[in-house]
Amino acid sequence: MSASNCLRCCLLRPSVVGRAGATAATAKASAAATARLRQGMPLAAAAAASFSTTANRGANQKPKPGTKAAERNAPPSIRQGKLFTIKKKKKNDSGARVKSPLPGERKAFRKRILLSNTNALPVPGLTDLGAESMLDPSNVCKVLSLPDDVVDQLRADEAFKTTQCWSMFRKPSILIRTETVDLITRMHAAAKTNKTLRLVLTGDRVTGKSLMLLQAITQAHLNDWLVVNIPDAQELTTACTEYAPILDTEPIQYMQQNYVLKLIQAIKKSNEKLLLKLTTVFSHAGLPQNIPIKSPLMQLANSAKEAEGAWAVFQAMWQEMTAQGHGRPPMLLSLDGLTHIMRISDYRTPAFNPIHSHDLALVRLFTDHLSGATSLPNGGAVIAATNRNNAPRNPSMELALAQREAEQLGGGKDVPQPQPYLKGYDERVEAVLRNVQVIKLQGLSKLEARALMEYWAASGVLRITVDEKSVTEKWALGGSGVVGEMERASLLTMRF
Amino acid sequence: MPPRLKVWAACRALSIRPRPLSARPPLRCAAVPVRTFADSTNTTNTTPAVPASKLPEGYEDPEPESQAKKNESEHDDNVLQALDKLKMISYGLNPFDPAVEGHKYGLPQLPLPSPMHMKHRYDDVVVQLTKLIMRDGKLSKAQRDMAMILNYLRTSPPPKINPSKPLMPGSPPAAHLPLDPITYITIAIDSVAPLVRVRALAGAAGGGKALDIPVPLAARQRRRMAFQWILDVVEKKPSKGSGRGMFPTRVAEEIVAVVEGRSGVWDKRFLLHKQATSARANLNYKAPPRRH
Amino acid sequence: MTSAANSLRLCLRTSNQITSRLRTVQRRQVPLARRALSTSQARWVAKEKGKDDEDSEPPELKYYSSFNDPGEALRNRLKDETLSEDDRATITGMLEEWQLLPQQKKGDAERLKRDINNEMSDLRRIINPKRDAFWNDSDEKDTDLITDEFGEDDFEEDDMLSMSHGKLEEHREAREYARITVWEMPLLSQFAKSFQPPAKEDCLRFRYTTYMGELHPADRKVVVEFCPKDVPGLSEAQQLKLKKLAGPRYNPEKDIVKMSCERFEHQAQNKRYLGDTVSKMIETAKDPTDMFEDIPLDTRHHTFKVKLKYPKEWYINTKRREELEALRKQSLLLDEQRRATGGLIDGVSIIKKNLLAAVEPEPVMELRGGPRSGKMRR
Repeated sequence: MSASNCLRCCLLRPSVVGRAGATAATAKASAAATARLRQGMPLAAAAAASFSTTANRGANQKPKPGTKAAERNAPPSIRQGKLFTIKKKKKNDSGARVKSPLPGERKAFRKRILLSNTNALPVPGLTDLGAESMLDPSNVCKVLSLPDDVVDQLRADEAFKTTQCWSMFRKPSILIRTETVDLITRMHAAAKTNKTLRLVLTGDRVTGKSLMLLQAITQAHLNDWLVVNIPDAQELTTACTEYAPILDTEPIQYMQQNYVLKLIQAIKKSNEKLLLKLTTVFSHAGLPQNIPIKSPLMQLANSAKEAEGAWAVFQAMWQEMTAQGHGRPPMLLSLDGLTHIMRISDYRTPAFNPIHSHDLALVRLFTDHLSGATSLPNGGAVIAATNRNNAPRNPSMELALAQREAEQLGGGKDVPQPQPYLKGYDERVEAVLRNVQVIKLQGLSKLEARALMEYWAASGVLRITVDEKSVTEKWALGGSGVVGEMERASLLTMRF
Repeated sequence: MPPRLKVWAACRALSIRPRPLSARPPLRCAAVPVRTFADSTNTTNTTPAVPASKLPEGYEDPEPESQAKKNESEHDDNVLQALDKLKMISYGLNPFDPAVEGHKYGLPQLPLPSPMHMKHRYDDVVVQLTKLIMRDGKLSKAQRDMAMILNYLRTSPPPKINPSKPLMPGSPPAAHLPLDPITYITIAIDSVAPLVRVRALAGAAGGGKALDIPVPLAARQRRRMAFQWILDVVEKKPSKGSGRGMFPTRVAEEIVAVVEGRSGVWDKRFLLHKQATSARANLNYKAPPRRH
Repeated sequence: MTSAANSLRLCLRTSNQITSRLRTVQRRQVPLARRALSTSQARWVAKEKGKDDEDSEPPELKYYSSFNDPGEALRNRLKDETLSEDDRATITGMLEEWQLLPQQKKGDAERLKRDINNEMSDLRRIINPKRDAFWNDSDEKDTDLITDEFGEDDFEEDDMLSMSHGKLEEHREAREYARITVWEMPLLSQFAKSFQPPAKEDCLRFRYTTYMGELHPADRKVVVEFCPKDVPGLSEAQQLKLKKLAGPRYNPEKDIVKMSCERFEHQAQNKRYLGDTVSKMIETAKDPTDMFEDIPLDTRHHTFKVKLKYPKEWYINTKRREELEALRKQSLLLDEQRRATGGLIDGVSIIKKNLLAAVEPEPVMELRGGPRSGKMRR
């Protein structure tokens, strides 16, 4: 700042100039001020006192956008003291601009399922599953592959999970276990006699419960059953999808239209052939579209375009699918993550009371069928798989399943009894599970383990010789053949 | 001085025995321990009857028939075994194979195969890279990450190798890499690893300037440097998804990029090599004698 | 030497004459109480003239006269008019006895007296306090002190070391207890009672605590334990009710009720209270009006310990060994069969075979955006 400028500045402005303090008056600003004077414009900033002990703040003065930078750079008044300011973090200091993923993209990436690995070697002598192959006890300890159309259907059903090792093999294939044959035989027996198999798959962690459920769904698809699969019950009860009360229900029930819409689309996709073939037999009122009688069920399913009205469409579809005496095929209703629907949900009533999971309409539909309160008129199966890893504490379910298991083994005395002083038992849960069959999955037998490991080795992902020694080693590492642990010990290691 | 003959010393070692040792008849009472109690009254019966089985060998038994037969059969067995062994020698086999003889489960295979050795269970390169991934001493997490990296390499399609960024000589064709992920990652790291580093010797250029001197690196150092470069790139990359599998995915993607010649790590390597080449004249630099 | 003099002094304490003389000696040498800290020299209080003469004279001058023999002393005693009749008779008797004594014995008494006088001469010596001595004078001996510190710690090579004394003391102690063991302990067997195992009716087990005569806040505590099954005359239902009444005092693993009391000051009181409580509980358990059937037995207070045991089936015995042998043989056979038929799957060889089958043409070096050919040549 030159002396002449400073002088002029003082002459012009007898006191400190407004906002940024007089010490910061630049030559440019003073020049502007003189120009204004010459033009006869009022000097708004000059209204300050000639001498002041308070710091200057220009609350009512709007700074000019051009001078903003100059003000920021100006040192503050001495009397103002030092202000603590948090510096803004510089974004992306590496300089390279990266595109951040769109909303939902990261989750989609996490949830994506790869079913084929082109590097893996094709296994010689691997045959596709047939409609009867899972019924045949001679197929136990064999690995069979899933037919391609069934793979698409299963994908629509979301029966594959990200935690399973599908992405390592050329073709999705499954091992037929003794439990598989047991389960499939029960399903067939039920379908033949138009009865409903009500069954719960339980077992320790990574013993293959979800995979057993997948096998059941596969069998249903192979035999042209209608399949309604709820892939992860957690989504229904953890309050992550919208809900609304259903009118005229006592006690009041809640529908989850967004989820139901998704479910309808899944049903549509996985049961496409059947839905095209089957025709409606009832007239339905109150749907988004008018569906005439004898139109294909697919049309009914297609009428659910938005979440609004999806519940009504689902009800109509359910009515049609379970219509008796119209040549409807048997049906499989399956659910993974039973623990999540056997508790009080995270939803709340308008009065902020917690809602029991069984008051959610879709869950209620499932539990009614599982408990046997309503049955599938054309026969079929209601199968639920428990989950262990991400499971809430559920003493009544544990107890009920343990009781059913003990009863099946025929132990009259060894049936576990509820602990009289334990809190958290739920009568509704006990009522649902009072009369179900239970299959408890345990480790594989050595022969099954050997078959599985031979499949892995033949696919080129297990670089060892599969003999009794290595099989026993992995079998023991996997905690007596717990299949997930075996996988972890042989496929997810740094050693190949 | 020549050693003296010590005849007497030799004689001292001689022993003259008039009769063979075995010809001496065994003493009967010597083999029978006799104990009398202080309060025992029947002191007269000091020599109890000796049971036949306890008699010493060679003692003339009044009824030696069965014993002799047994001895004979044993003898026959031994003879047969010896004959077997002789036969083995004639076939050119070692009859006293230490792997079989005297060991219940045989001898272990030596040197121990690497999976049997606790410290060499995994490949050396994999171990080194795992330790470089490790943060806060969480080795098992790093190991899981490494396993995921290897699995990613197995499932990704075979890399398309860029001829301008060639891999190490002698590396297998690209199609063979995915099914051998350890080779895959080793080749990627070794190919991109720098051969030298440039050491700036402070004040050596005169006038307070540093003098750049290229220094060769050991294999382990080279791998470490290359993988640190890769990790630097990985840290700056955004992940596509979420969850614990994302870091290994990014590392594996970068390794694939290295093999395919797309990675920026190559540029780092070229730059370093160029710098080292230009500084190669400084290799003649000798440190001046230290002044005290 | 001094100890002998002391003992003598003690023996002769009853003699009025001597004590009084001693007393005068003491009186003379004890100075007045001084100030704790003073710069001026201590002086005797200046006495008034008249009083001085009276005080300086010994008040009982007559006792200063000494007697040659006891007869004289007794005679002298008889001269006293204040004596009572009894005393006078006794003294007269004693005098007569003295006179009857033969001359030699009388001489003995004389000699004894002389000896005593010789011995006592030290004590009787009048000690004149030094006028200008001060107590912090190193040469001065402080006679007030009970122990003579001067030279006390000096070891004059005429005694054992203190460690040896300590050792000796240990030996003495050990011997004392050994004596007790040998001589006194066997006498305790007189008090021995034969053990009577508790009868079936004695279902209560009491536990007391003693601290071997020491006072302790816990020595009054009494604990009772009993098994509800052992309580006579209780039906199953009543036993269950008793367990429910006991609440957290019931241990379901051992089936034992354990109660304690330290509320009262004495052990007996506490025991009485426990007995009363138990009998009350049993009485209540027998009361059929409310059998607590609607209340389940509460065992939340107890954590059941699971003791894992090595499974019996895993023990290695001949049978198990045979089983294992058979299993191994079977698995070896399986492997061999597979190997023979070519069904044994080796991951590495399979990969090699497959990769060799699909041989790819080697990539040819081609120029793609690299440096120009001129540079390359260089």
